[in-house]
Amino acid sequence: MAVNGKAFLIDTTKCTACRACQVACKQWNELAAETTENRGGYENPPDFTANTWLRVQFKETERSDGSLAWTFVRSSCRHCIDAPCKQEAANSDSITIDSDTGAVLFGEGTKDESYAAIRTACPFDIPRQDSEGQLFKCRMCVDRVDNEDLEAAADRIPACAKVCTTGAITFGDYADITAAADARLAEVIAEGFTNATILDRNDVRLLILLAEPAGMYSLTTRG
Amino acid sequence: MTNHWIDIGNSDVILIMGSNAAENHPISMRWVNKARESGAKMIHVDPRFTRTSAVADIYASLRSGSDIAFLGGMINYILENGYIHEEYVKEYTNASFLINEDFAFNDGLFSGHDGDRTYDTTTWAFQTDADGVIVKDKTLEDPNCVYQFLKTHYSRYDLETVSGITGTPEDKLQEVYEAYVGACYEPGKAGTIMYAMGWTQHTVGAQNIRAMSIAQLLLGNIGVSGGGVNALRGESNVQGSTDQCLLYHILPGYLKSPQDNWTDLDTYNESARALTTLEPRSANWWSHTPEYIASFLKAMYGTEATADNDFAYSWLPKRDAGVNYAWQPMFDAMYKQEEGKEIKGFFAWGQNPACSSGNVNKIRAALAKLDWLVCVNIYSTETSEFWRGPDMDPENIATEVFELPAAASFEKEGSVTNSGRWAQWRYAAIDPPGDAKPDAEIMNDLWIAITGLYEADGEFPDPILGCKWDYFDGPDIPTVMLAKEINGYNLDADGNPTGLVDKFTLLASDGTTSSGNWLYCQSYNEDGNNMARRTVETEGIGLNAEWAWCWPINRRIIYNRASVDLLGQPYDEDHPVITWNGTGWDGDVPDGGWAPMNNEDGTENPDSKLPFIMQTNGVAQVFGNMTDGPVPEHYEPLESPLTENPMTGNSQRLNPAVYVPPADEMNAVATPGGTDYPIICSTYRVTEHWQSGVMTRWIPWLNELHPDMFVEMSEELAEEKSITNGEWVKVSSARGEVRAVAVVTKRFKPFTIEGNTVHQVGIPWCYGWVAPLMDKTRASSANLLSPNVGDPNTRIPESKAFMVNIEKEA
Repeated sequence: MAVNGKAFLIDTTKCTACRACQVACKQWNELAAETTENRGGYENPPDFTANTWLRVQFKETERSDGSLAWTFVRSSCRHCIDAPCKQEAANSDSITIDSDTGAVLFGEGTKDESYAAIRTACPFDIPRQDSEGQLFKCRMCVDRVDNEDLEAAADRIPACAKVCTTGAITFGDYADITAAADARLAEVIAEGFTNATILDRNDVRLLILLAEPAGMYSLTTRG
Repeated sequence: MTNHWIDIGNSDVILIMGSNAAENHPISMRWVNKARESGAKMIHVDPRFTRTSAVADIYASLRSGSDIAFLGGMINYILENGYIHEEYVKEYTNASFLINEDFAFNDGLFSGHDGDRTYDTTTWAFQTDADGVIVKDKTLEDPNCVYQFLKTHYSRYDLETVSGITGTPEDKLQEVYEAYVGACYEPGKAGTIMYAMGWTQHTVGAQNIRAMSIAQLLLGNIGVSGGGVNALRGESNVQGSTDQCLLYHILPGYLKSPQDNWTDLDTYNESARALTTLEPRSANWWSHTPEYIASFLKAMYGTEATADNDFAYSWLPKRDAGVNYAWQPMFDAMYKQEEGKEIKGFFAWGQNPACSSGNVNKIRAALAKLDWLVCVNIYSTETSEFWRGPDMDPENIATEVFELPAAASFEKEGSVTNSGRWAQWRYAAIDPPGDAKPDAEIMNDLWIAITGLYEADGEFPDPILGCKWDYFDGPDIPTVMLAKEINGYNLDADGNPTGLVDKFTLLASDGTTSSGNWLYCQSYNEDGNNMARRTVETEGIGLNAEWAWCWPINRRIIYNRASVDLLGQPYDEDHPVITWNGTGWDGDVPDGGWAPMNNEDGTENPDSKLPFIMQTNGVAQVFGNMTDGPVPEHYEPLESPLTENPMTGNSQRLNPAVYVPPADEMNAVATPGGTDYPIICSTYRVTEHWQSGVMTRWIPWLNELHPDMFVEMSEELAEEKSITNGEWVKVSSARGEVRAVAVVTKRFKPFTIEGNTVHQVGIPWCYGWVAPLMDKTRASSANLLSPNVGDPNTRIPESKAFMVNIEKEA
């Protein structure tokens, strides 16, 4: 069955970890800043929270030829096409799928769900709970994507994609994004990155394109 | 920039050196990526592996302060292998000029040095014939020609020597030279350089850029699309403020500021620039200085400026000849002054010198010698609060401090000029809060108060009361009135405006035109506010000629007449900047509309002009006068791990023309090669904070990303010092100390310099003790450590290479 709705492509070959996406996420969604400390690196906050739905994760690795890789991945809810969190939810209206975009949305009803069960069900360990018991994560900025008050089509995309400086985050119709992802993957492989992959290509709406082996990135993968 | 941001996308190879573009100019990477889509490689050369290196095709490390050695090696590689763009070098540069036979270079010194810190540049001149015309050898074979001198001079920069100085392995040097030069030396190919403060903030800062300029000229890379020498300016409008005379030595449009022995306008015109040249076919554009200064004076003084009174030239403030008024000498003078007061007051307008300048302990001590200090900013700063900074005793400080709240950039209307020289008009999005006002309004309030005082009993009130100042009672909003004044007016016999001047070629020296800045003439003419244009180019090389407006006269790539051959046809047919169509030029606005250098039959066109129109001799200078030498030579930083200069042994360790700060208790310097401070340190910015952090330290979302002062160091150094990643350490220099979190990383590696291991660390300068949302003990200012020695041409401080020590916190 053809997949409708929307998708992201995260092209890590273009990402410079400027973290405009991380700030834009907090700004649009009006999320409070965390009190952090420098733990001996650039990555912060250290984990997802009810107020931190998107993080750029950093990793330093030396390749076998001695050269250094410093990789960056914009991580958040992958908006699984067949979402395990939804399957795990006891109540049908606590976690819903937005009909236009396919976004996986957590509602107030998540207060009544088992945090442990929902979090464990997520292959990427994304959901987090606030002090009132409600669960939070990326909402695909559906209040932008579906927002008729935003006149320009270029504005009806998630805040993170809107501010991306380098073109590393693109957003659009699922079919277009997957086609663009496949085309870009072919280019990256042709450039000599024979290990390049698109993570969970057929299962998620947040397609992450990696040039190097997945172990060289700081991220959680499915299974 | 000679070129502009979008044009980076047309490059065949990109060198980012002296810049961390991905972190400090994030949007630039969009255009770097575009070039890479067409197969261009991006090379990053930097002491530290940064977020720019992470996306580079090739990364090479080098020791801070060794860029001239690295680039000297590149020039040598170009010359040794004959990778020059031959026609370009012969016709468009001074490589063929014969140098005076008395010129010499020995033991690290060019001829004419006074034994102290100054050069007499007389011997650096060129040979001339009986008519005064420079003697040339276009075969480039004469042993006295510039080309042969460059070959000899840079043959000393062989791979082994360069590697010993820079710490870059020889095979990596070779890889970078091959990748860069190989991709752009053929006519029609272009390489670009993106540089920033990593090159400028050295005692050899200007010569770093000159070294790359020489390489670019030898490769035929200036004036062409995808090429150029591109300074990534550090603030959104610093290009604009420089254009409008932010600096002491210039008036708007880079006219020279007058000095006391240029007593009248004729003397000014004859002394400030060469008004004439004997070189055939040289446009020598600065010969138009009389039109520009007269029009400037008409803008300043209106009807008070007449031909009879030299257009009130005598009212302009004059510098004392031979005195340097740059930032460092100014603060030296402020610090040294006693009773009597040479400098009574100071305006820190949108600036934070007590955090952003070198050696800020001294800056703070200097501010305490003032009677008054006015700080205009959107927040309190380390400068406005200097009196309660580290080691200050407010009871003993008499300086009266005034804080004037300013509107932020999005709360006022006006133009912002970006690195690519594009002046882009912006409207106010919201009103400023409270009593905050746009800068122009604050200036107007001051103006009203000051003229009131002068009217009452001011001494020599004429230059103040005679000033034309009608921007707040005109038909337009003040910034529009100012923009029109900057553009300039045609004036009738009574001096009244009859319309806006169309472009600067129409400015006159007889008082019939005004122009606040000749370089911006055309920005707001009878066509309207050209800076507000918003038409995006749909085909072509991305010049976007109708998006905003750029100086000069909307020329998007300057020196573009060097992008074509002698018949006016582009070297790069795929990216033509301009093309001669037989009767005129298509494409960008050419550097003068003269027909090509040669006629169609190949004979020389006597009516044409050489392409480098701002140079007196019409061609680009691969050999030319700077304060510290006609070509770059490697010298060690003021503070360095080496006791000797590997290029010249003991004779010249430090740039022989460098400004050495006066010896006082605030100017301590580490001993070269000493053990107290054996580690090289650079300061730099991070993406997440802005400049000294004045604007960003108030934003919790940004503090969350980079919350604490940190110091980046190699795993090897951390092990040597028993430092664990994430622990607090003390970083000290001869001038001060800071606390910082140790970021132990593979991204710094120890260097092997002249056979010895040398460590380098780096610290961001975005923190300070005015940190309302931070813990002050975790937000030390990096410039407590840096020296206030500077480049002899520009006096920019050497904050990219100085010596420190690191210890675990007790």
